Amino acid sequence: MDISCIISSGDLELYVMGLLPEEESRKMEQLIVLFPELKAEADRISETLEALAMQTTQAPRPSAKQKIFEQLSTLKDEPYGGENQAPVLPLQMDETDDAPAKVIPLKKKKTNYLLAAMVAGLLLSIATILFLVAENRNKQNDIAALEQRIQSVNQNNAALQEQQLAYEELLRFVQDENIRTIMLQHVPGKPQASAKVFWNQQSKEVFVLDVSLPQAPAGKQYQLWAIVDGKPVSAGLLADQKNRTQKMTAFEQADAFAITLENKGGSASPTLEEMYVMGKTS
Amino acid sequence: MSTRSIPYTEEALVEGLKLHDEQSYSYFYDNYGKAIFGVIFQVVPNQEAAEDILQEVFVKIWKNIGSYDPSKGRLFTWVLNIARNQAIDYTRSKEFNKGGKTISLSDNVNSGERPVQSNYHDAGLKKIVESLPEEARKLLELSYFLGYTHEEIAEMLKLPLGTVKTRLRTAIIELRKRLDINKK
Repeated sequence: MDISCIISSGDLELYVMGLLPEEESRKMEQLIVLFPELKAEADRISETLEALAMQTTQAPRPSAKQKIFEQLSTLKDEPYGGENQAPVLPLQMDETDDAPAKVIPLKKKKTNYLLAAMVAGLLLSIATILFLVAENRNKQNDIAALEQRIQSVNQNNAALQEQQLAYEELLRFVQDENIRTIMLQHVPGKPQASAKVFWNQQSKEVFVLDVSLPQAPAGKQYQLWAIVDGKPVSAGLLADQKNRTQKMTAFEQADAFAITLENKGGSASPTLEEMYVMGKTS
Repeated sequence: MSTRSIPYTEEALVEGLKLHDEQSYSYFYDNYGKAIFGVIFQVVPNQEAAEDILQEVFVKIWKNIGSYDPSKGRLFTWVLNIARNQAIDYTRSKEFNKGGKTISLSDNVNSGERPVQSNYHDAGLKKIVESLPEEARKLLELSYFLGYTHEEIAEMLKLPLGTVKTRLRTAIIELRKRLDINKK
């Protein structure tokens, strides 16, 4: 801190005159406590202005003092306004009393400036650290929240891409003249469900898509069957992802396709009570 | 009302004032009352009004001495600032302005004339303040006796803020020379 800079700025003069804005004044107050050089200069300025005041030739009339002290004595009864409740000395009205003037005990309050500065510095440091810790915690929370958002956006994005792929695939199938679409309708007594089977008449490839079936319970899995000559033949297990078109076992011919719920891993023959959807090919 | 003849140290005086000890107030009045009055009179050149303000100042000292902190400034300076503020407040009050003593300060300043309020013809501060160079005198009057902020003064005198402050400092250094304050 360049003290001479503060001294030459003229701010100390304003401070002494009580003309500095409140906040600046408080800052200067602290600086003065910390730097004896500033205190000495402030005192020099004070002395000058005090000496100027002492030059006056004007004086209040003698009656003024009595008026003032009459008013002050009425204030004696009022509770002391300051924070530190100072004991009020009894009024000594009898001025002819020759008793020696009451000696007011003086507490020798030696302000230890260095200690005050150290304590102030320490408090400031602690406050700063607490502030920074809180700031840091806020920042970390912010970062965590942002990371979470990025993750969810990424997930969303992946899901959208998936959907996009599914639509593109679907479009390809729909536009492909060789593809036959077989709608699998829900079997009476089963909850609302449906699925589509795409059957390429040229390559004989079978795809399943647009599967809308109840969530398979744990340990269970849906299985596609082709009914060939009245007998169900497994066309493979359905993956969990419902949106994607899934390639199943190819069939030369089939009378119908059906989906049943089987134990995980599939069965050799379908559990007919657990058939959910079915659709004939012709 | 008698006064203790033994001079108080500033520390003892502050303690006494804080304790609302009447003798301390009496001592303070006898030693500083006139100077305080002089500063008030500088701002409000009217005997009766200045005496009323002096009374208000003593009431303020009585009520606020508890918040006075010697480490932040000297007692007399603290009191002088109370007195100046009280006097300046008075000049800005209706009561004062009714008397037609309102002045447009900027007019006076720009024309280089002395503000009407600063009645140096009667005040003892006249000689010293008047002996200052024109600009120093003006700055001291505007800030110290009329209570204008340095921002306001900068605007009135069309000077940069920093210049106002450093010139005010120069004015006080000049004042110090003229007052011939002996080094303690």
